[in-house]
Amino acid sequence: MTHLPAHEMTATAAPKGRRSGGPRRDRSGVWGVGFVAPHAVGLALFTLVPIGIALAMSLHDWPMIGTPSWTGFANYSSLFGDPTFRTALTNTVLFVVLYVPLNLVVSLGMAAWLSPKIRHRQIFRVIFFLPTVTPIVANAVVWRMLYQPGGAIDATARSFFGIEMPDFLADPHWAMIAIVVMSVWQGFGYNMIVFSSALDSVPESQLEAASLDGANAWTAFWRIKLPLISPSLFFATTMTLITAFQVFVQPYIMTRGGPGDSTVTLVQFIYNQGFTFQKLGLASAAAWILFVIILGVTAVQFLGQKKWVHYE
Amino acid sequence: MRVRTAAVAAAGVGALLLTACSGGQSSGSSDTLTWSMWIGSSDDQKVWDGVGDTGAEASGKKVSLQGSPFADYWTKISTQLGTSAAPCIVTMQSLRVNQFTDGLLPLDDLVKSTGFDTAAFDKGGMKALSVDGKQYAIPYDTGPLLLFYNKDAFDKAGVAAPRPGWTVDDFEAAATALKKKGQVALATSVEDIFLEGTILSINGGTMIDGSGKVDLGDPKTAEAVDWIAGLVKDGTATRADGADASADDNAFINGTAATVVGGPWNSLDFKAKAKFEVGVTTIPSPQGAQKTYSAGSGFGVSKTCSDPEGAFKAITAMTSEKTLTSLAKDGRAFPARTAAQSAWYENAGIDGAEETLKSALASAVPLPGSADGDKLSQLLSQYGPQMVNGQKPAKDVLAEISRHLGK
Amino acid sequence: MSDAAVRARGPRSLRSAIGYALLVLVALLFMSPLIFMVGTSLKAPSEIFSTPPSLFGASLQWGNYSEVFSYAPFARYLVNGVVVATTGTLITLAVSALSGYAFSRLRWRGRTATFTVFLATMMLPQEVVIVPAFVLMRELGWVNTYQALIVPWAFTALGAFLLRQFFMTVPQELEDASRIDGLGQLGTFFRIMLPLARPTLAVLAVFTFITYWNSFLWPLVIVNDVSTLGTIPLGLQQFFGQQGTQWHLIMAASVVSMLPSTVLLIALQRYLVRGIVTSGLGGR
Repeated sequence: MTHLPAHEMTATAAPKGRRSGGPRRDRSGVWGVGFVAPHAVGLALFTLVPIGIALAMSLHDWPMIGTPSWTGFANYSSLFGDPTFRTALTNTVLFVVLYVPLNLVVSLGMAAWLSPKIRHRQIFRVIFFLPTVTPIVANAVVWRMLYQPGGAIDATARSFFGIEMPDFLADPHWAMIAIVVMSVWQGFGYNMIVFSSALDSVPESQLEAASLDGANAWTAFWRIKLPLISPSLFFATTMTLITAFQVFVQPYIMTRGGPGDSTVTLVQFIYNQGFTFQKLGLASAAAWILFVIILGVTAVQFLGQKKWVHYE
Repeated sequence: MRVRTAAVAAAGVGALLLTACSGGQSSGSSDTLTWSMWIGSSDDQKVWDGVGDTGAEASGKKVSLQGSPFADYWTKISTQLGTSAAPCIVTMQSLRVNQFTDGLLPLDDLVKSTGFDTAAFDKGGMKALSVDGKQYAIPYDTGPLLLFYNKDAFDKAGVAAPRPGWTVDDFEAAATALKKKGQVALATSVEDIFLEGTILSINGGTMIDGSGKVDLGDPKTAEAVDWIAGLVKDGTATRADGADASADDNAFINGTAATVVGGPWNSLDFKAKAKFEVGVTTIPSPQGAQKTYSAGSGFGVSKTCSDPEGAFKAITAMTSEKTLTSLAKDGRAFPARTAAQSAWYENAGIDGAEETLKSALASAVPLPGSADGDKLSQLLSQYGPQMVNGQKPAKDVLAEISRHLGK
Repeated sequence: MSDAAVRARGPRSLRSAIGYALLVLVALLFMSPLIFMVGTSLKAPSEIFSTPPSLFGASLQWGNYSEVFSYAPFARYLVNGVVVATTGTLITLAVSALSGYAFSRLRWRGRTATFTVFLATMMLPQEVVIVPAFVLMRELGWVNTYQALIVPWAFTALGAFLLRQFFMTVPQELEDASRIDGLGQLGTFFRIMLPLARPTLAVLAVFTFITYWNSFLWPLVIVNDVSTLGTIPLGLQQFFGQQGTQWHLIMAASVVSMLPSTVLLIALQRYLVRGIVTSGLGGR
């Protein structure tokens, strides 16, 4: 494979890399660069370069066809003056604030419930993981059918309880909640598996010690298990936050961002600006803002982890 | 173990090379004309592949059909035109041709040099695909917007079958009678063509002015939308669904709503799927002010096409009397070529289709296109339901959409 | 702990039985959208919206499933999905195993810095780079090709991270022993380290496969010719066409689209849990 450019790349990426431990005298250094080269080149070409392109594009008026022209920070300032962008930003934050805690609570709760004592826990695990492996488009379509007037939820409520349900996806007050509920249903499986395997690896001895001290299951969970699995919690929280900020398919399929703009998210805004309205510069600026937000939130996570994450 | 790993790695690399070779046919190759078209199903694909074959025969080149669903088609085309990835033959819809003039080749010189007879086509259909006097595509179909109705439901409610030229008052009376039988009268839509068409017929309101500028300030437009919203609130029309462009067709086909606005191109599908007798008439208008939009589609040539002459030869065959007659027999398209239209009437299988179409055609004006057409369509699907379903006054929503378009 | 032992303990067993019943109930409720999906996929179009709701129609319309394949080139979408997801997964596994190893067991200049860059890109969602990635693909002439569907997302850093975590847990003695046995660097990697990493590779394979299989936004942007290059999520959209939403067909197609990843999940689920533990995700 392509050794040479990779070598150059890593060499320039860290010209004065601090010698953590110092390179050994054997040929490990050559092997190291060689082993990392394919991945590093690919990552550079398809992730780092696009990020750079995006930054450059965001400073231009960049039409889909035709010549770009330099505009400085005009895209950014027009974004902050654009009520649609602000709505998309608020909607995305609203989604994150509702979705992430709900996802974590449900997945942790289910992971704790599906303890090794539960019969057929493998089957249950697979069941709760199932929507995660189903294409989101399929899930979103099913839920659209469930939510719509005359759909399964409405029809069930009417025939068994005589209540008419709201038109969830067409009602600005309900649409986002409906999307969050569907997203939690579809997404918590990942975290459940992560927590489940973390809980499994809590040593029996520690729990026994706790139960000798008279701790009941509840306190044992809070005092012993939770701190022990805090690294997993940290990892899951971080990843869930990152993915939550990119929510797109659920609103795209279920509401197209409607009613009005009550479920337009940042990624849909980027898609619309870039590919429907063909303002690639504006779309790139919006993408960069999203990137910076995610970076900021993750940084806060990492800084905060010292307080509650316990590595052994 | 090593053998296995090596095998896996080899398979990966092999697959990559394989896909790299078999992937993407660019339109640049000299023996192929790429043709992009909206495709909804395998049936569509088959029919249009057949049309492509006639083009291949005429041009002596392979015509390779590239399809995506209608909803995504326009986004795709706009990312391709003007680049080397652009298809040679581009299917265009009359109300969208304005926004693609930069990427399309004016066909007037080719029409002249090949002696192509434009007079054989419906005048309105031809004109609808031209912008500023330049012809950008040759139409294969055209058609005024019509109102399809459920004959069985009308009979049950004791309402006489509506005649072409019926009025808004007639419609309201019919809707009231239908409601007494628990039947919703109208399936609403926020799709640009159908919403604009309904509004024009109802009271002459427009969203796009003659010069191709989107102008939502016409008070008549808001009035017409509020009229529809009144029907929705009243329970005589279905709620519009912005995320599902076919919700209105579905409501009509499954009998939920007794009427729906559509084009001649819908008739085949309605007739095939509906379990009741389908009738067709004009969209209700005020007394003595019958009006409807017509829209059509056709084939154009991209500016980057390396062989425009070949592409035009193919298009000539793809819009020939023979091809359009066979499309008409399929009930797919109401032919833009007048000589092929009788085949459509004969095969429509809907009573009064000919009378209705002729009446509608006489009162039809081309639905104007706009450079902002696709944005308007996008915004209507997003914001339209609020006004059509009566959650907000039409005036406010239209102002909001204008604001989004303004930038 | 055996099930019998749990059940044998008098009052406790009652409580656990109630708990178990509750769990079954929750699982059923949870599954109801999927059950509903299967039910609808077997209904006639006229029976889809009915009050009171029914799970199944008057008769089971198995024909819906064959109609899925005749209505749209769904077989092609399936093959495309499998080809794209499998190829992408294989590339990801290959490059990640190598880099994960380099990041954990080999010493070289710039290792920490490079790893930091890798980690930073994990915070970068695919969605953020679609616009520049699209422009890049256009420059490369890759628009509407298989390689555009596969290659750009095969180099995500997650794999390197997972495998690094895993390789760090392997005792150094193992590697030293293999050196003494005369295995070189490549031999040590392929014959000693890689087999050990199977559970972690399984986790990575499942995650990567699913990501490719379910990816929607990127194919939506990059595929122009859906009938030849379409993948499952794009294909599902086809049933929303202008000719009326075909709910029964969408549901049948959704059921079909679930199958490959479900089979993969069930086949690898044992590995999955173990792999998550060893890769440090579920570690403590």
